[in-house]
Amino acid sequence: MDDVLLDVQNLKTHLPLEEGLLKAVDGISFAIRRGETIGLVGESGCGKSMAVRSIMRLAPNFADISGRVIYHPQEGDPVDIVRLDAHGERIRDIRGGEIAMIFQEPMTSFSPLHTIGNQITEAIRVHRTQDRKEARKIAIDLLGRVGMSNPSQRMSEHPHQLSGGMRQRAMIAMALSCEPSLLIADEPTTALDVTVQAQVLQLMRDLQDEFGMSILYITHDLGVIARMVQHVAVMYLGKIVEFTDVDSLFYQAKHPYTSALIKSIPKIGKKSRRRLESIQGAVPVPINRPPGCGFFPRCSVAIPGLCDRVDPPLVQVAPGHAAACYVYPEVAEAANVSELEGQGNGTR
Amino acid sequence: MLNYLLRRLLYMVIVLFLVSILSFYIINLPPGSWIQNYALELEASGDIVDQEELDFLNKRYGLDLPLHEQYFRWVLPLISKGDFGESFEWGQPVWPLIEERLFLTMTISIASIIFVYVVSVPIALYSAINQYSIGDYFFSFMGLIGLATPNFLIALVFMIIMLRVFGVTPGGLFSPEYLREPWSLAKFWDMLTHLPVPVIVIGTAGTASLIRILRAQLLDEFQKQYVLTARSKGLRERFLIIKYPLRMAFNPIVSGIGSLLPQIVSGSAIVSIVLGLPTTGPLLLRALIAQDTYAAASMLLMLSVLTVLGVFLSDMLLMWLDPRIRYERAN
Repeated sequence: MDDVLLDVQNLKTHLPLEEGLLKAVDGISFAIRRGETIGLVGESGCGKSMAVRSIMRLAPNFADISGRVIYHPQEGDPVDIVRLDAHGERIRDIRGGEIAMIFQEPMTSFSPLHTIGNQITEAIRVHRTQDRKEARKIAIDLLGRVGMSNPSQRMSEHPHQLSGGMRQRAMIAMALSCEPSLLIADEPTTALDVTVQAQVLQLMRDLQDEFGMSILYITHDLGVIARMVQHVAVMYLGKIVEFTDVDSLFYQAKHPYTSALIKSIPKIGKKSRRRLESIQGAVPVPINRPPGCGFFPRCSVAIPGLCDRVDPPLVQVAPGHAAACYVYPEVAEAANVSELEGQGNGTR
Repeated sequence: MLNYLLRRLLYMVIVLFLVSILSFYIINLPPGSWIQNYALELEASGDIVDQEELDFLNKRYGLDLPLHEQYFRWVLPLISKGDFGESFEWGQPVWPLIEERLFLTMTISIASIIFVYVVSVPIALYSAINQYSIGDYFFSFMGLIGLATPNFLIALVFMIIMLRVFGVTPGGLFSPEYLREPWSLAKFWDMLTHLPVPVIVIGTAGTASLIRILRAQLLDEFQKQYVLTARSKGLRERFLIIKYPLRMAFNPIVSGIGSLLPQIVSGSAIVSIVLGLPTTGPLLLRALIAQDTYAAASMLLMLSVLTVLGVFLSDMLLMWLDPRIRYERAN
């Protein structure tokens, strides 16, 4: 466990809204090792963005965050980010300097009124050097490394003068400008077209080799996951329902939600004439949600009387493979609900 | 860029030309003319009306001519010699009559705009950052009072307070001893000390509405993605709010200066009458009632010139502030 960089334990982000309590993130745990790439997959609204925002302490002020997010810096003692003051000095050092973030919308992630150069050097001057000229040199160098032509001229251009792909490259350059140990990429290629998407993904892999940082990759695109990550956490309604390596995810998915997701990937070839499979029903709104598995109403193997009563915990069901589903006896055992199971008219 | 400036200049000339025609026409819409009013006035006071004198005045001012000829009698010397003509009512050239008043109107207007901005920007920032706090509610309440109270009423309240509490008569822009004096440093200073009351009175409504607009604008900007990006870089909250959302929120406000100006100039007319300020407002009102065509049209035209210039300057400022607009217009 020496090489763990970020250890997320039972992280909860609850948002008290007028309509009720929104459990956007409801007790997730995972760890990221140094140099590792982890994927966080899930449908829109499953809480993946809110989860990483909570890790950065960028969730809205009224959000109620609990659990632990232990960050192990290169030097110095581990810190629990959840305990930090959201506006304090330590979290500001971590933001940008040690954990950096790339956002989904390259169109709106830059201020339209300031030059690209201004916005990149700003981060460098907060974390690395006070010297303007040196900061500028670092920024120009980075813009070159992310594949921008004529980087010194790009520095004085405004975001509207760049294409979407170029903006996302600038965004990556900005995130990497302070050589963070962890890069959180929140659907960085969703807004880009497919060819540009491929270029940006390749660029991120190359840069990871070069800088040796860990990446937490958030996406709803399983194709991107297959290409980019080693381990995957599947999120549904604020909880992680499955955690495994990327191969097992595609070939031996354990959770019914994950298998349904994999089945709904469009296929090319013999089977392509078949009707595209989809998951029936829609994601319920997680406001004032009753206890029980969130996937229960849409699940084909649900056990009435059990799944809709007690939350299934995330338990190891095979080596290096965890799932939260009562289909597996280990899960029922861990939840201590085996006696409950008898009462229900459960069929598997 | 140069192209754009030249085009703007052309538009400005066209607008002013149209304004001059329109105001001339509207001033002459009420039945009768200044001469008829003058004759009626003489009659009412029991004087003998001298038909010869009336005919002479009619000839002299061209009031018997059709309206478009009257217009050209006014506008041609104005273009060729910068001559605004003669005021019927005062029997003297218009320009010296309005020169100082125009200057004072502009002084009060600009001071009011500065006051509006200096007061409302910090309050709006505070209200937006501490949304729904007691302070926010307090400023909203005060702002609504400021918006709902007519300016002249605030003026009267101020006059009473000044008189009762400080024992000074607040009317006018100058102390009596400087009233007829030529301009000097001492007179200028005297004017500055008289400026706060009219500026506060005229600026209150504008301040209140600007606070509302800027607060809403800021709250909107706070939600934007680029603010999150700035935070994720580890910037200080105070620094990033001023650098990003405040700057963005300023755009519609800068473009609003142009429309704020005529609002303040026309809104200050009643206040000027109540406070006895020597601005164009009271003089313009009097000229309009008396159908003193040249004086009224000249004042309206000059106020339009200043407004058009104000809009132009605010546009230039906006281009300087926002690279997107600069880019759009240069191409």
